[in-house]
Amino acid sequence: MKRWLALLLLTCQFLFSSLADAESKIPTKPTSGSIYVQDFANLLSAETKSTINAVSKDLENKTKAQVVVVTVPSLDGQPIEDYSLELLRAWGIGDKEKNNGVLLLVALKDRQSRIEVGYGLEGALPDGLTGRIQDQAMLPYFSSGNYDKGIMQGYANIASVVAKEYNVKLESKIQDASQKGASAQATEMTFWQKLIFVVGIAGLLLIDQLFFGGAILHLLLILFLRGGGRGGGGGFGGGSGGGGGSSRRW
Amino acid sequence: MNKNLLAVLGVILFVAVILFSGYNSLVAMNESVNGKWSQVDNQLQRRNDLIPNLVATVQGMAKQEKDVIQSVTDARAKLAGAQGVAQKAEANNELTGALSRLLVVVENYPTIKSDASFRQLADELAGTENRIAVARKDYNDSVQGYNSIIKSFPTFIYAGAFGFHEREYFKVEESAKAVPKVTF
Repeated sequence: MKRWLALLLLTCQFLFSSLADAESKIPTKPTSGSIYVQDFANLLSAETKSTINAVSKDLENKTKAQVVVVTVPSLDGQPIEDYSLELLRAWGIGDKEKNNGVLLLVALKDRQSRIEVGYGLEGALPDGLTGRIQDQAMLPYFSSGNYDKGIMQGYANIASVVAKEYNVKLESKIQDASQKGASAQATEMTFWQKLIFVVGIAGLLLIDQLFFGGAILHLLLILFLRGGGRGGGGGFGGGSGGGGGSSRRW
Repeated sequence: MNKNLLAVLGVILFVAVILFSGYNSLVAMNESVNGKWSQVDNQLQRRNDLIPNLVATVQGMAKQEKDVIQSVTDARAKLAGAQGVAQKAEANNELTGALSRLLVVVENYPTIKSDASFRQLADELAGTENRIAVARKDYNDSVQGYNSIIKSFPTFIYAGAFGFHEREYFKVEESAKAVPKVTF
């Protein structure tokens, strides 16, 4: 009996010690509200944050993929690869089955960034592409101190690659931002295409006003505003990764 | 009803339950170690597949660095032929060393460093190094869990009889622990 008791105690001790071990320097997991962007280093404008939250929410609803932006003041001496994977796994970014989480991490004092890719998106976001996104869309802004813009551009590129992987369309805001960035896979519209697009939208609005008394526009506006105002909500899905992605210094 | 018989049956049942559940958890843990190992193996393979392209790219632009390039090619061949955890770990350490020397040499060639295909390869390589490190840690953690169960009471009494033996760690030289970092 005593032996069993000792074993039980030992197990408890082991459990506790491993818990204490796991509790390292990464920030605690946000459970509600705007979970998609955690700006611990205060680098982002309110507008960027709300765009990221809205787009990530949209993306998650359509694909279950979770793209998360985290900024921290410092890594506390941990290599950024370890830090970001630990964060991705501890928070469970991405769907549990699909493991389709992406983490964009920026550490201000260390002047390092990393795009950490969950198992499920390693095909869509190979390491080379994540490096290119950082080189072309983020680092140029980072080196001049414009973190807000760099993070937004990098995020926009990642989000549009993920959307493309699942064949879904994102809000137009993000499309605009990513076109200026690195991927440039979304083909830019020519002048005539833009004109036709604008005329088409105007025509639809006219039809709506004439025949439905503007009811469709009204409905769309309500849906859009409500969706934008609600922000995050669900929490993370329990995804995991194996160290895919790439890191940069500036 | 014979009370002694009941007691004996009870004890036998008790032991059997412990034995079965212990056996089943050993099977599960052993499989988990196997799964984690195949992850390590996959990533080692993936890195081996990337190296010929890297070598070709560097060779084209820095012909005079024959020795370093050769050491990478040799280490790659050695890893490809390695069998078992210990041999693979050793060959892997050697290859990691050779690759980091190659990347240091490349620092002296701005044309290579800024070459788009080299940068992509270097990213893929750095990513694979990182995945190897992660897979290795996951593997070693699962081996640790498995080995400590095998050696603890009461499992150690019967584990050997069922063919469960201690598993090997994927060891890493302290010096090789730092993943070669490519900084641009």
